[in-house]
Amino acid sequence: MKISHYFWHILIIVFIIIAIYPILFAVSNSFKHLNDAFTSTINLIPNPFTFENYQRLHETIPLLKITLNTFVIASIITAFKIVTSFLAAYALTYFNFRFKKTTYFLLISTIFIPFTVTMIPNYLIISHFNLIDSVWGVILPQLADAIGIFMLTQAMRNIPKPLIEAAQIDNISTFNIMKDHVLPIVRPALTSTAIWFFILAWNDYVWPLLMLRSRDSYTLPLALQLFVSSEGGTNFTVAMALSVITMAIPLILYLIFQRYIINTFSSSGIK
Amino acid sequence: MAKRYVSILLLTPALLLLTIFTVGPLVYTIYLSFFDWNLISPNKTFVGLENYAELFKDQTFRRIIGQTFLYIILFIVLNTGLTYVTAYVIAHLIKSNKGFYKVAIFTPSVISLVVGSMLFLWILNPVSGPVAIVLGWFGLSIPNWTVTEGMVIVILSLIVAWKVFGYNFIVLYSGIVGIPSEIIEAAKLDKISKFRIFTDIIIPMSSSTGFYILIMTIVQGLQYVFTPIRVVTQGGPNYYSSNLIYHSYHEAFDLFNTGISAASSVITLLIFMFLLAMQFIFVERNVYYEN
Amino acid sequence: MTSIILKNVNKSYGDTIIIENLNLEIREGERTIFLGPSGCGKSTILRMIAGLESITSGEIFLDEENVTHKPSGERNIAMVFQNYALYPHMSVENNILYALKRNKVSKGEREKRLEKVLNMLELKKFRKRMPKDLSGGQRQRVALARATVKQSNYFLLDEPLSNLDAKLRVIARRELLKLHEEFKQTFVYVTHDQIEAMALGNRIVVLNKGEVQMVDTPYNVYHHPRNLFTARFIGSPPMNILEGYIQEHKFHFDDQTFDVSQVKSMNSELEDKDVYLGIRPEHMRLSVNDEGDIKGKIIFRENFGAEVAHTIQIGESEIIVMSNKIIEQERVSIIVDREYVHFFDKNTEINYNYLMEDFNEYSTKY
Repeated sequence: MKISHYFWHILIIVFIIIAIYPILFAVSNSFKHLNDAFTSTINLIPNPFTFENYQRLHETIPLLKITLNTFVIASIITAFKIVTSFLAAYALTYFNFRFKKTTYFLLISTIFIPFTVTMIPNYLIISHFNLIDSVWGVILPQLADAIGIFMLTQAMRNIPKPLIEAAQIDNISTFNIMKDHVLPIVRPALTSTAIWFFILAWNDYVWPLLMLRSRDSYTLPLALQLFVSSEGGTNFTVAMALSVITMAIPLILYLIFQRYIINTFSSSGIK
Repeated sequence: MAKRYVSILLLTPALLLLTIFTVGPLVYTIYLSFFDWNLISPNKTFVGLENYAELFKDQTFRRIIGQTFLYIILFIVLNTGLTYVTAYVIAHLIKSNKGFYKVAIFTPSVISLVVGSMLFLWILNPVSGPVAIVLGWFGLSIPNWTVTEGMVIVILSLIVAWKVFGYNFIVLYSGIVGIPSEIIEAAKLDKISKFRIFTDIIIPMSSSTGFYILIMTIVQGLQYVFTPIRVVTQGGPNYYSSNLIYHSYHEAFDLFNTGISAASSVITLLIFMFLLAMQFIFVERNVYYEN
Repeated sequence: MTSIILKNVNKSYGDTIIIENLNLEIREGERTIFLGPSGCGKSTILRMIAGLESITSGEIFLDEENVTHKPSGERNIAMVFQNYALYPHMSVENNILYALKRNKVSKGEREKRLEKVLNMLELKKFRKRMPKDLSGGQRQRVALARATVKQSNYFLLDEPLSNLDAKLRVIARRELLKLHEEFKQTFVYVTHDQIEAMALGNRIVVLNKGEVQMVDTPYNVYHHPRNLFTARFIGSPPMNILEGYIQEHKFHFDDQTFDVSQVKSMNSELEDKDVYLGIRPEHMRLSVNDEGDIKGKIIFRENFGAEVAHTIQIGESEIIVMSNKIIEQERVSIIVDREYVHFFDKNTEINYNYLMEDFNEYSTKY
C-alpha cells in the first residue's frame, strides 16, 4: 500500500519535471556564455553568470518597441473581448427573447471554426484598409470572442436567479443590477478570463505572422522566430534570453492569479 | 418592449464583430473555394468544384489528410487519455501536495508555443541537446527527428501536448472531483479495484467533460500544432509534418493558390462541424448522468 | 458476543480534535444507533468502522480481528449512504449486481440473491430503470438492496432515511426492521432523529462533541438519562432543567422551593449542594388552584393535537408542562411527580441515580 502510494507521487513528479524543465532550461542558458552553454548543457546553474545575452538582444532588435507592441496589442484585445463578452453573456443569461438558445448555440459554434477559414478574407479586409504591418491590423479581427461569452455565461448562470429578481422587484435598472450585483459576483471569472485573453494575445503567433512585416512592428513571439533558423547555434543564448522575456509576463500573471485561473477553468467544461 | 431593446443592444457588439470577422469571412472562404485566384490579381476564375477535385487527386494532399488523422490520434492518446489518467491519479490516488501539483502541471499552458517549439528544438537537438547527452551516457541516441517522417509528427505532437496538457488536466480534474465522493466510497467498500473504479465509475460519470475535452483537443490541437510546424519544420520534410491547417496556410500565403487553400479550409471546417455535431449529440444523449 | 470494538480511538484534522479517546463495543446481531446533534462525530465514527476515514490513533476490531489498517474493501462491510450513492449510469439491477460481479460471485448465486432482494423490497418492476427515473423512496430501497445482496455481517447505515418525507420514513423504518429480522446482521445506524433511534434501536449510543454520553436501551436513554446532555437532547419537548440547590430536603430555585425528600436519589450527601433538577413535561400536572409545588404563569400554548404544551414562566426560568387540554387561565401551579425527578451534579453533570450503589438492579437492561 505504501509503495503504490509513492509510485503515484513519483509518476506525477516526472510529469512536472517534463512540464517545468524547458522553463528552467531557458532561464539557465539565458545567463550563460555561449561557450558554456554548449560545454555544460546539463548543468542548470550558469557559471559564470552573465547578462551579456540580454545586452546583445537589446543591440540586435528593438526590444523595447517590440515588447510595447505586444503589450498594447494584448491589452486592447483583452479590454474589447471582455466588454463585448460581458454584455453578450448578460443578455444571454438574464433576458428572455426569441431564438435565445439558437443565438447562444451559434455563438458557441464559432469556437469550432478553424482560423484557416477566416484568414484569407480577414487578410483582404485589413489590406483593404491599409492596416497591414500595423498593430491595428492585428487587433481588429480579434475584438470579440465566443470563448469569453461562454466562460462568463457559465459564471453568471451560477448566480442564483432570486438575487437578480429581488433587485428587479426593487425597480433597479439593468445597468445598476449589472454594476452592483452581477459584476462583483463574476469578478473572479472576469479577472481570470481577462488574464487568459491577455496571455493568448501575448502569445499569439499566426495572425501577427500574417500581419506584421517590419521588425519595428513585431511582437515578441514573432521576434523570437528570427532566432530559430540559425542552426549553427550562434544565437542560441540570445534566443534563450528572448524566450525568457516572452514567457515572463504570462508566467508572472499566472503565478499571481493562479487560484482564480484554475478555479475558472475548472468550471469551464461544457455541460 | 423596452427590455427586448436592451437585450439586442447588449448583444450587438459581440454579434456585429463576430459577423464581420468570423461568419462573413467563413462565407467568403466557401465562395473562394469555387474560384481560381492568386490573392492579388483582379480577376477570379470560376472553376466550380475543380479545386476540390484537384486536392483529392493530389497524392500529397491525401497523405496530408492521413497525417492529420495521425495527429488526431496522438492528441487523443496524449491529451485526453494520459490526461484523464493523471487527473484521476491526483484526484483519488494521491492525498498530499495536490494544490502544488495542479499549479505546476498547468504552468506550460501559459507559455507561448513559439517559445515551446524553440526550447524543444534545442532540448531535443540530436547532437548537443541535454536529452541526447543523457541518452548518450547509456549508449543511446535521438534520431534526427526534424527530417524523419513519422517521428517528426510524434515530436511536434509532444510539443503541443506539453502546452495543452495542463489546461485539459484542470478541466478533467474538476469533472472527476465533481463526482459525489459517496459513490466512489461505495465502490471502495465493495472492493472494486482502482482500475475498475476508473473504467466503471469515473469515466462514465465524467463522460460529458471527457467528451468535451476529447473534441476540443482535436479542434484546438490541430490549430495549435501549426506553430511548431511553422517554427520547426515548415511542413517538411517534403510535407511529412503538414496537416490540413498548415496546408491551407501554405497554399494561401506561400504558394498563393487561394482557391486550393479555401477548399482545403472548407474540408477542415466540415470535419470540425462533424465533431461539433458529435459533441452536441453526445451532450443531448447523456444529460441524464448529471444529477 | 461483541462484534465491533473501538479501542482508544482518536481522530483529528490538524489541530482540530474530532473524536477523543473513544471506547465502544457493539454487540453482534443487534441494531445499534448512533444518535447525536449534527457535528457530534457520529458519521465519522461510522466511516471509521467502514474504513473510509483513517483514524489518528487507536484500534478497531471486527470479530476480534484488528482491522485498523485494513483498506475498506477488505473489511467486507455493507453500507447505505445518506444520498444513496447509486451509480447514476447503471440500471437498478446493475447497481445491485455490480459489486458481486466485480468480486466474482457466480452468476447463479448472483441471480438468486437478486431475486430475493427484489422481492423483499418490492423492486421487481423497477429492475430495468435508471436511478434518475425513481422516486426518493424507491432509490432508498435500491440502496438498501445493493447493501443487502453483499450478505455481509456488518450493515452500516448513514442517515439513510433523512432524505425521505415523514410518511415514507415510517414505512421505510418498518422495511429496515423486516430486513434485519431476516438477515440478523450487526446493524449500525446513524441518525439525528431521536424518534427513529427509539423505534429502530436495540441500543442507542448518545454522542456529543465526539464523546459518548450514554450507551443503553431506548427505554433507559429516555427514562434514566445518564447525564444532563442526554436529558436535554432526548424527548420532544425536552426534559425541563432547573438550576438551584438543595437545603433541608427542599429544592430552591429562583424565589421558590418545594419538597424533594421523596425523590429516589435524594440523600444526605445532596444537602447544601448546587444541582440541576430534571423533570419531563409529561411528568407534571397543571392546577388552576394553588395546590401545586411551583407557581407561575402561562406565557405560551402549543397545541400538538393529542396534548397541549404549556410554557410557564417562573421567575427567570421557563418550564414546559404537557396537559391534555388547553388551560386558558394565566396563573397556575404545577404538581411535580417525585418519582420522575432527576438530580444532576452541577460540575460533572452526571445523574445522581448513576452514583447510587443499588442502581444496577434499578437500571434494568431492556
